[in-house]
Formats: sequence, C-alpha cells, structure tokens
Amino acid sequence: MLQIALRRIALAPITLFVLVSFTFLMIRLAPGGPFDGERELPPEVIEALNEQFYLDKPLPKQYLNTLKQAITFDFGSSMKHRDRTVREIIREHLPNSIKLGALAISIAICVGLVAGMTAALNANKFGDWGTMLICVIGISLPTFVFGPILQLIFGMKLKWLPIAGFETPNQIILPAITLALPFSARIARLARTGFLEVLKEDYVMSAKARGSSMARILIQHVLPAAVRPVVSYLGPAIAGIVTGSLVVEMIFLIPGLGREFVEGALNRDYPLIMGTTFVYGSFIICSNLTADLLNRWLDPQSRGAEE
Amino acid sequence: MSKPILKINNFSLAYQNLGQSFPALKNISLEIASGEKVALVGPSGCGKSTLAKMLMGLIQQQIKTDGQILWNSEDLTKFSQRRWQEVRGKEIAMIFQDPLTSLTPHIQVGKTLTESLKVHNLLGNESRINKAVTLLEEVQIPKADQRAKQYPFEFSGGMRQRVMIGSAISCKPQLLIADEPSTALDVITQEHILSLLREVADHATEHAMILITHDLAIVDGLCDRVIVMEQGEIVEDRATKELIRDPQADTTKQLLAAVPSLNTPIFPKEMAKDAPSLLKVENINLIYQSSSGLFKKRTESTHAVKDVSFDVKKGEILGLVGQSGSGKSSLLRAILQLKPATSGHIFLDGKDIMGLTGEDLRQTRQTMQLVFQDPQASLNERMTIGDAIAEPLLNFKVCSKEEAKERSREMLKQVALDPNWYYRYPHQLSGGQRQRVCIAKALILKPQILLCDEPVSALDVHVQDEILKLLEELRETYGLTMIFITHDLTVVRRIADRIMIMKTGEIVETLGAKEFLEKATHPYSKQLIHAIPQIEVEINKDGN
Repeated sequence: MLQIALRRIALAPITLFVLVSFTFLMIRLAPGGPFDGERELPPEVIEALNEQFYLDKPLPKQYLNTLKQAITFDFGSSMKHRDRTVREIIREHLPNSIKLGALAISIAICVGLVAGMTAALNANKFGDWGTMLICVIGISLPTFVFGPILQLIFGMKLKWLPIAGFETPNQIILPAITLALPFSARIARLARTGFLEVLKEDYVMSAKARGSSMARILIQHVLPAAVRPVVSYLGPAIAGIVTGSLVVEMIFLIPGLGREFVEGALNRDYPLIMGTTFVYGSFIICSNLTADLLNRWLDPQSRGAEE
Repeated sequence: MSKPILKINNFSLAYQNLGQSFPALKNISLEIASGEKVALVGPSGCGKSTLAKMLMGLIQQQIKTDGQILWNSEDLTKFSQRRWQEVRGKEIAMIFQDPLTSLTPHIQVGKTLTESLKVHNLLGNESRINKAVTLLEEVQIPKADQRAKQYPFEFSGGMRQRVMIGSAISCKPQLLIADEPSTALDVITQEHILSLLREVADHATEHAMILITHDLAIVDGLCDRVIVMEQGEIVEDRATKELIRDPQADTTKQLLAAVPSLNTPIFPKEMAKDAPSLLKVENINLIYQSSSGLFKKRTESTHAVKDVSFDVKKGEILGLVGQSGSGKSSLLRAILQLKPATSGHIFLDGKDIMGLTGEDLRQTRQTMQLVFQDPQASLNERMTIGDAIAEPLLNFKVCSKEEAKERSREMLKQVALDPNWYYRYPHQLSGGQRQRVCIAKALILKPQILLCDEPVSALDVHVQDEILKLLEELRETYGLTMIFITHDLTVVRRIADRIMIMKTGEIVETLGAKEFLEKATHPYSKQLIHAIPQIEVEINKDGN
C-alpha cells in the first residue's frame, strides 16, 4: 500500500510536466496573441511588451522559461493586468473557489449517499422512484437554470438568503447548493447501485443473523463496500466541481478562480492560463490520487498487496 | 424428555409473487427439546432452508404463513423487528453454507467473531479482542492472537467456516442451526468441520442443534434424530439409527441410496500395457512468477506443478484427485497451453504440442475440449443453447451454418435433451441440464480427448449421478478419452479407470481404480479415503 502510494506520488510531477508542455503548445497554436486588442498598439510598445514577457525569444527558450516558472511556481505578471502577478491573482481568488468547492462536494456526498441509500432500501418502491426521478432532473438541469431559480425563490421571494456576492458567510449557501446538485444526483445513483449490490451479499444476511440492528449493518457491513463506486467517482467529481464552478461564480458574482481561468483564456493571457491550468491540474491529480488510494484502502485485500 | 424449546404446529408457508402463491412448506409440525440434535434432510428445493430461515426471521420475500411456531412458548411468526434482534445470535444462531461469502470482507475476523456478544451487550469493548482470541482457540485455529486481527481473505474456506461456528456459539444460543455447513468444502476439510461441530454439540449438552443437509452420511454420529422433508412436507421423523436401518419413505430410501459409497462395485476398464498413449506428459513444470518492489525487484515464484509425468491411453478415463490448491487446475491449463508450462513436453498422439503457437495451437485445441465446473457461469446467457453448441463448429469452419444447426440438434439428443429446446436460453434450464449443454458443446467437435474440470462438483447428488451416467454412456458411444478432475474420491472411483492423486503440485500416487482402496500406500491417499463420510449400518441381509 505504502509502495503504491509512493509510486503514484512519484508519477504526479511527470503528469504535471506533460500538462504544462501540452498547455504551452496549445497556447502557441491558438490563433491570436495577448496584445491583439481592438485598439492597435504602436509597434514599439508591442516590442517592449514582447521583450518583457519573453515573447521575442525563440520558442524552445520560451518553453524552458515556462518550465522554470512552473517549477518555482512563479509565472510572472499577468499580461492583461500588468500590475499584478499571476501568483497574486491565484492567492486572492483560489481560497474563494476552494471554500465553494469544498462545501459543494461535502453537500454532494452527504445528500448523494443518503438519497442513494434511501432509494436502495426502498428498491422498486415509491421512495426509490421518487429519489431517482429527482436525480434525473438534477443531472439534466443546467446550473445556469437551477442557480437563478434558487435566487428567485430564496433570494427574491422568501428573502432568506442573499442573491449574490461573497462577503458574508450566508452568501455561500445558494451557490454551493447549485454547484452540488448534479454531483449529488450522480453520487445518489452510484450509491443506490452500490448499496443494492452489497445488500444482496451473504455476509449481510449473516450479520443480521448475529442480531445486528439495521443501522449497524448499514454502517459497518454495507457502507464500506457500497461506497467504492462513489469513491472512484470522487476524483472526476472534484475535478468537475473545481472547473464547473465557473458558471456558478458568474451567476452569484463570486470572485473565484474559475472566472480568471476563462478570462485568461479569452485574453490570451499566457502566464495566467499557465498558472491556473497548473493549479487546476495539481488539484485534479491530487483528488484522483486520493480517491484511488482511499478505494484501495477500503479493500483490506488490496491494502496489503504491493501491486 | 425435557420440555420442548421449539414447537411448530401445522405451519404452512407460501411465497407471494405478483399475485401468485408458491407454497414452500405444508403443514409442518415438529418439536425440538432442549439439548436435542436434529438433522433436517431432503433433496434441494424441499423447503428445509426456508424453514431454517423462517426460524431466524430471515426471509426477505413476500410470504403468507399459517399456523404457529412457538419459540419458548412465544409465537415467533408475530415477532417485532426489535424482538428478532434480541433472538438472533443470542437465542438462535445460524451457520451458513458458504463460508467464502458469509464473512464481511472488510471487517477483521476477530470483530465479526464477537459481533453477537457486542450487539447483545454481553461484552465490553475492552475484552473484545481477548474474547475473540479465546473463541478462535475454541474452534481450533492456531496462532489465534495474530489471526484475530486478520481479514477474511487471509483465511482458507475451512478456517472461515470455523470462524462462523465460533461466532454462532459465542452467545451460547439455545438453538444452533447449521445450514449445509460442510457442503461447500472439500472432503478433508469437511471432515474437520464436522468433527468440530460434533465437539461443539457434545460440549453444549443443554443446547439444541438443527443440522440441515442433503447428505445422510454426515448425519450419523452427529444427530440423534432425522427429519426427512420432501416438497415442503415432513415425510419421516425418527431416530437416526432406526431410520438408517429401516427407511420407510421413498425420499429417505433415495437419499440413502444417493450417499456416495466406497462399497459400490465398479467396473473400470483395464488398459493393455502396450496400448498406445493418446496424451503423454513428460516432466511438466509450471512456475507462476510475480514481481514486486519499488526500488529493488523481488520476484516471488510459486511452483504450481512440479515435474509431473503421466500418460493417458486411448479410450481411458484418468481421474485426477486433489484438494483445492493442489495444482490440478494448473496442470490442466498447462496441457491446454492456456498457461504454457515452464518446462517439459506434452505429446498428443505422438506429436509434441509444447510451444505451438498461433493457428497450429488453435487447431490442436480442436482436439482437446474442456468442460468446466460451474455450468451457471460457462454459458453465454444471451445465446440460445442450440447456437451455443453449434458455435465451435462455426469457429473452426467445420461445416455450413445449416449443417451446424442440424448437428447441434443431434448433439442435444445425444446428451438426452429435447432437440426442440434448440431455441431455449440457459436461464430456462436447471444446473444439470446446463452441464449437459456444456458437455454437448465440448463434444460437437469430436475431440480426441475431453478434459473435465470438476464437472459435477456444483451439482447435487442426484443430478451428479445423472451426469456421471451420461458421461459413461457417451464414452461407450464415442470411445472417449478423458481426464476427469475432482476432489471427490467417490465420484472419481466410479468413473475413472485409473486414479492419480495430486498434492502440492506433485503426483503422489497413481493406481488402478479397482485396487485403489486396498493398495493406496501414500498417507495422503489414505487420509482422502478416510475422510469420506460413510454410513455404518448392520445391514439385515435377509431384508427384514
């Protein structure tokens, strides 16, 4: 187990290296440059800018520079907002995104597991159909529809929660729910299948025969085996929440990193694209790795195994 | 006689499904006194497991019941969920059939073992590990203190069943139900588990036990009384000795006759010394390698087949016997080149087939066909059985589609199935019928040699008998050569001409089937013979 963990962690930098190289290539291949604005700049200004941002150097040199920036996590200043470094932008916006994402994934896991378990215990009865219907709606309803609906109901009509902004703690609730909805629906479906599968196992019956209560059976005997498909999904889900936060950030006017990510791409702001991609990439790698290791750990047989 | 703890009065039970009613138990009446050891015997589907599950409140399906089951003068058909939780594990405990799936894989064995005590508040947290160790020692598992912290996958089937027994007796229940506790185990392990149960039963004289089984041979010496069931009804209920000596009901007689015996006369074919060998295996070794290690490569190797040599004559049936893990399946794989041997030679009809690759190997496989153990798993659920049988003909482009169909129908007839079943799907067939389809599928290419890997182990005694008869008939018709792998000595003795005993990758003894019982000298062979449960009766020769 430890060996596998070490080996996988050792692989992470390689993945990041590939990611950085690929991003570098994509940026340069995309048409347009950072200073192709509507208003044409005088050639000497562009020249000065190019020099400042290393763009006058041959590509291999630029590439090496980017690699160096990635290793030191110093991508220089943004090309659009030249007074701020990429590091500053990330430091300012990432915590907001993390707060939102962490709350959303927690909601998604809790709601998803409970819903999935309820559905499985009421298999093919009303409780099951009802839950699964809500899940289908949850998966198919786009965030930009669900978000405004919540704003309308809880913000405008009931006036329980603020519509937008990110200054007070209660402003995070609506966006977190919006962001969590499709993920909790998917988790619920996976959990339902997982629970149904495990509830059929012989060991559940023999636990029952020992006099265990239903709650004990569910938590001790069923849950660790039933959540495995959910855990496998958590890697991609966290990635999805991190990148998917963009729309929610727009709707609820949250100064998060998602917005910077998209704006960076639209503005051809090379250092900003590199920086945000690097951060997102590390996040996704870490969450996948954690999910993988957690899944292995849940199965005692692979916990001891070395391969 | 002491007072009855369990009293069943005119109890009937029917499963309800989509408005239809399927009766499973009809007018059952019986009493069990404390301390009594009773066997509940019957063919599969007779309702014995339903009754056992009813006694534990473990039936999940919709049911309709009639009559009473009095547990210490309380009607347990009216128990609440809470009352059931009190009863289960503490007053009535159960041992299940399949030890491999009955232990929660992600919970330490020690915890499972003491769960009953824990949920019935008979034990504090601090003494749990100690109690687990004591229980493990009680069921005779060595190194109990280390074992308690291990997980089920580190235990063999027999040891897991010991754990189940330990868990069931932990609260000293008044009634212990053992549902086919040894059926899923091989002979030697079965013997060990039964002797443990016997010990448990002797130890707890005041506790009653119900042993559910289809094998009357294991009842003797363990239970004082036998209840025979057939189609949901009790057909006979008498003391064990009496019942074995003088069975009344037809079901009982059939069950007694089905007990595999070492005394039945057999008629193996004697092969001429100079008869040509069809398959000759010379010094086969098979080593599995697995490597591990992060920085330093460590290689672990398992020597699964060690220097094995034997030959099979044309028309002969060679029985290969060994426990699970003895390497018999590995040997089979090596012969079929599914997992090529590490060294050695295999001659088929005089031709060395070791190291053949690609098309040559594929053509060779046509002459060697395999029948697997589990007929449930070895047929494609989405293919009609007729098409499944015809498939090999089309794979090897032996004939046209129409002719393949025709031959497949012919083959169905050969294995005693209705040719009109061509368009049936596997799920419409019973286990025995599926195995017939598998045999038909293996025979349609007219192979020179048929390799059977435990073909009857997953079937009950009665069906086992039918399949063995079929194989015997087919052998006559086709002059089949066969290698028959099994862990069951009674089965192999019946069908094989020669018996080869395998242990930890080596052939320890090879003898003719006829002389096997008397002449076996290797201690392991003797142990195998000894482990077979036998009914000991003084048979009344005059038939009175």
